[in-house]
Amino acid sequence: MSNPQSLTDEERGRFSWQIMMSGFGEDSQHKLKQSSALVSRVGGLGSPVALYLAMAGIGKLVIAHGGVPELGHMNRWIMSPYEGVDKISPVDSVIAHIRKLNPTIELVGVKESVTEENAAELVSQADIIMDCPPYFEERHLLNREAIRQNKPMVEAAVCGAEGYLTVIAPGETPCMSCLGFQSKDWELPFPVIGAVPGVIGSMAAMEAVKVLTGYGEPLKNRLVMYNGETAEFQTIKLKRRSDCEVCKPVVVYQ
Amino acid sequence: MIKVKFSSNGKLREALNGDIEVAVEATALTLHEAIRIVGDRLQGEQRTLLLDDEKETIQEHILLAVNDEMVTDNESLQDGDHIRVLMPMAGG
Ligand SMILES: [Zn+2]
Repeated sequence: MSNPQSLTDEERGRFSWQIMMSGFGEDSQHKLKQSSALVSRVGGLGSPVALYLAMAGIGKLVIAHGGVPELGHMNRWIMSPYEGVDKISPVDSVIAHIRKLNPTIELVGVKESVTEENAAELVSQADIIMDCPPYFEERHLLNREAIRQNKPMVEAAVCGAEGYLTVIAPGETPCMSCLGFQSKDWELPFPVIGAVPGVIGSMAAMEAVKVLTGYGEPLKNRLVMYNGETAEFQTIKLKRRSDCEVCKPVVVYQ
Repeated sequence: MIKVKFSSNGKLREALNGDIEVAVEATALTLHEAIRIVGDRLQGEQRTLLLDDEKETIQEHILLAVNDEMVTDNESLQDGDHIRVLMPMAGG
């Protein structure tokens, strides 16, 4: 009888090119198989996040996204087909696409975006939170809930040719509120070229792999900023705000 | 004379046409003062990206860094420092 906790021969073959990476190996692959991620919205940013986590061999993805794609999303929603504009939920499109790439992953689709009502339940279903919605309000809801449930969150965002990301680890790093990430002027549509969320989403997926497996050094207490116009990256060292009303004190969810 | 470099992103970077240099005839300069000097170069909506004239403060929701370390606006600056202002974004 096969042990569901261990890798199958098929998985050893499928993931052999990453298992052979120095410092990764079967142990990391096994941890990834036992892990789960919530991807909040699978638009320009969440699509590459979900895609690369699935292809890396994560055990379970919870995909939450309300609504349907609009024509203007078609420069970056890489898993939503053109014929689905105004019709097909991106949750259905992403699940169908990922299923063809990774037949063994557990996929949970939720055709709602994050709200006050569902945030706790959505966060409770995953080991790591991938924060990819286009609204500060949804991002702060997830930040608050991830802190409350003591779960790591990869915070990633884009605008124009720019994007940034950081890993939020409750009790270890600043949270979104510490960083002051908010804007009363933010509105949709925002300018963006699809390759930029492609870059940042791929980096966000890599950060999740690192946090979940222990491989490498996750982007904690640092923020990476990408400027696609100049092809430059900057790294800023971050610090917690001692008076942050969200992350101090950390209350561990029971 | 204290000279510092000022970098930003997004609409603020567009308004300032990229990186700029701030030079002040003084022996001491805080980050707050340097940002006020940059803000005074801007008008209208562009100015409000950086300054809140009602509260007479720097806009609350921007991340400030000096020499690539996050700081608060009372940070003292040295000649040659590099200020970086990060405007938040939420695009997905
Ligand atoms: Zn905080």
